[in-house]
Amino acid sequence: MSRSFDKLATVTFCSFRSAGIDITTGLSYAPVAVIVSGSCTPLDPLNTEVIEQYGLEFFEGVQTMARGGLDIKEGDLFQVSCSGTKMSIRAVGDWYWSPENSDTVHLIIQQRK
Amino acid sequence: MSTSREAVRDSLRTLLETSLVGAGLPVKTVMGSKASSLEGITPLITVLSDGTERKRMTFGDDRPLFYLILTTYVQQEEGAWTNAMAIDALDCIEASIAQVFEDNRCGTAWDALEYNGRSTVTEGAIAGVPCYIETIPVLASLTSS
Repeated sequence: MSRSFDKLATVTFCSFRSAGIDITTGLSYAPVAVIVSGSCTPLDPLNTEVIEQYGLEFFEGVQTMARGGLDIKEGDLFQVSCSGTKMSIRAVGDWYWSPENSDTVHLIIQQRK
Repeated sequence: MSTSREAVRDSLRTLLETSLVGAGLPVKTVMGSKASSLEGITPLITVLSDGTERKRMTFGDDRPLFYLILTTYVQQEEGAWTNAMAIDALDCIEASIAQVFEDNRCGTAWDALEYNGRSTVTEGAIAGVPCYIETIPVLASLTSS
């Protein structure tokens, strides 16, 4: 990870993953924390190119870049500063700044209404 | 002061929570407001306001009819939880709500509690989580305000 990216990644986040549903009772389990102190760039609105690329016309979202190598999957929940509203991660993609720096991921996050 | 719809809605929410949430019962969460996420809270019932009709009874008194909407959310397949289990759970919860209504036609917060038409089942997604959604129109009426 480059030092320049570290300077840009000023936002702390946590992520959570669904723990599934008890098939006996039908009751869902509370999501479990997967990342408790990640770093990412400040959240930006989705631009037109990203909306078209991912087919995101039907929801409002934001995007950010996070350090690669973390356990982040589509469907996880994203929480800024590890408090407040959890938002859904709708897409995770590798992002290549340059051939030497490939350990960054691009996160598309759905805002909740 | 006239009776607020909020008092009736809160009473119905509490009644459903008491009757349907807990060990061996089919619902995990009952809320009196819109849900922004389904993660970890399904099966969920929301109790929301749908309008009021205040019919004049005397010079100084109205007869309020409070229209409410119950909405049941059951998450669709995830892991070993199948769509068949999900629709079974939805049906079970509908029957459980009906039993609560039969047992509480009269209550401290209303003089009559009844359905206001047929329920409707649809499919949808809340923040990306696919679910069955059943909407049940409800009428809680008072004999005076």
